[in-house]
Amino acid sequence: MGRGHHASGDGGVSGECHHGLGGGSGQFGVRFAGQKLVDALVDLPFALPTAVAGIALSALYSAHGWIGSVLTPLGINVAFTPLGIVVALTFIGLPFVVRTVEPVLQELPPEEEEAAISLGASRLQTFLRVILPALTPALLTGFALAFARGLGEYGSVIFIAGNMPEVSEIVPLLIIIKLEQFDYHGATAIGALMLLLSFVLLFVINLLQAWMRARHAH
Amino acid sequence: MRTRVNGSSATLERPALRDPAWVRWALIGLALGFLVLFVVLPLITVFAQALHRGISAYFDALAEPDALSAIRLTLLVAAIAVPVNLVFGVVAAWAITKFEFSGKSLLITLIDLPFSVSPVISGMVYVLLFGLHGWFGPWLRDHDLQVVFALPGLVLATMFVTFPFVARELIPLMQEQGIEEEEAAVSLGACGWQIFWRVTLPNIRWGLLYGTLLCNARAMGEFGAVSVVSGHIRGLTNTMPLHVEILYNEYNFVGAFAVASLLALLALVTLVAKSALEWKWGESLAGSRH
Repeated sequence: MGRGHHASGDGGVSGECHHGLGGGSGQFGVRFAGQKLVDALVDLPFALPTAVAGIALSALYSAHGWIGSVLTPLGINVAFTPLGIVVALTFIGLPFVVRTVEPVLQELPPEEEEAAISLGASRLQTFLRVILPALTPALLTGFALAFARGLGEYGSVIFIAGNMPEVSEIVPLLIIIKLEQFDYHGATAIGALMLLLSFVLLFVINLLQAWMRARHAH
Repeated sequence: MRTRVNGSSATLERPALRDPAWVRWALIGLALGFLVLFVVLPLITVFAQALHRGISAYFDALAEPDALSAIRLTLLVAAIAVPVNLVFGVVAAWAITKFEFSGKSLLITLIDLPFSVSPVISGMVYVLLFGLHGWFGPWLRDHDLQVVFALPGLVLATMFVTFPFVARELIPLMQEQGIEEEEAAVSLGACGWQIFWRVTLPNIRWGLLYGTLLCNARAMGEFGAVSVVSGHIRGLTNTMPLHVEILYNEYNFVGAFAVASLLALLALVTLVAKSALEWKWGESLAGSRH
């Protein structure tokens, strides 16, 4: 029952990791006009009620929507397919990754990069060998936070998913359907599995954060 | 969050670390493009869809009795849940940061729990406890009390989901501030209440406001947990997000987006207030949120 859901959670979150990195680098390297606006906008997915995000994304990506009307002629259907779930989870997870990576990126000592460059490394090499390894714990933590949120996400997904059983039906919706049918045993069984997953993820996140702190300490 | 400028200015003064202009602009372009695609466009869509039949259709949709009762119910639920969580948050943060006791780390874990559990499961717990077939269901029925599919269930589910916001904001802040000032107050003869009102509260007021703002935004916008316990009775147990869902599923898009636009406005006001607090009082807010 969780197969489709897992895959989508994964896709959505790795999309964000790229962005978290891009957005972070932008903030690290330069200041630009409207930076504070961008800073505030990154938190919108936290502040915007999930149902509002859900209907907005669904309207945007449906065949008549602003983005959907561009993608549909290209043969890409987002709304009412598993791809829609990826879009919704990308939206929801965005701030988790950016806000985890951002402070680490800001506190990265520039001396290490300078040392790399003075030893003859190119900027790309410096990024891959010096900056990226320093960011790995933060990136993984952000990924895990967004993943955990994505697993349980309901409101933003159900409008755009289409909710076709075994194709685009997410686990939280299945729980609600079972509850509405008074199948409390079924709902509790799935719920218990979800809880277990949440606790495992929480444990992993705690380990990752401890790793992050250890990195910071030296 | 709470941006530190030194990182960037340090980079600007270090010529070796300056990337070529095209790299910088490509990165900024990529980040901005992503943000526009995934954040700005959905936000604009809400208002565009709400207003696309004109301003009078917009206000007609909001003046509809079911919409008005959904707005009233949302305000009522938030008016109960937010103050309760505000008091709880202060009490919990106070206990955790100013005193030593066994089971402290368990309390911290418990406070974090609602963040790591799916909202649907949070709602389900209350159905299993207080629903007709739940543990307390028969007892509640015998005493003619209704929790699930009624206001108490909505308030309980909202409180559970918004539980961590205030405490989480205050704990790192109060940890940073330490207990020296309170100890000084005690040594000068202040009683517990005086210490709280005169020393602790002034120190944490901006953090408290910040946490309350976030708590309120979530309380009014909560969907998953509330959806499970509400029963979706029109005009009775539908909060604004649930009303949005019903209207949307009835293909009443103007109505759905009109109500949604109010929630989006709430989110924008929250973000503006939050950013203003961070820029103005960043020093007196806690260092990290996650």
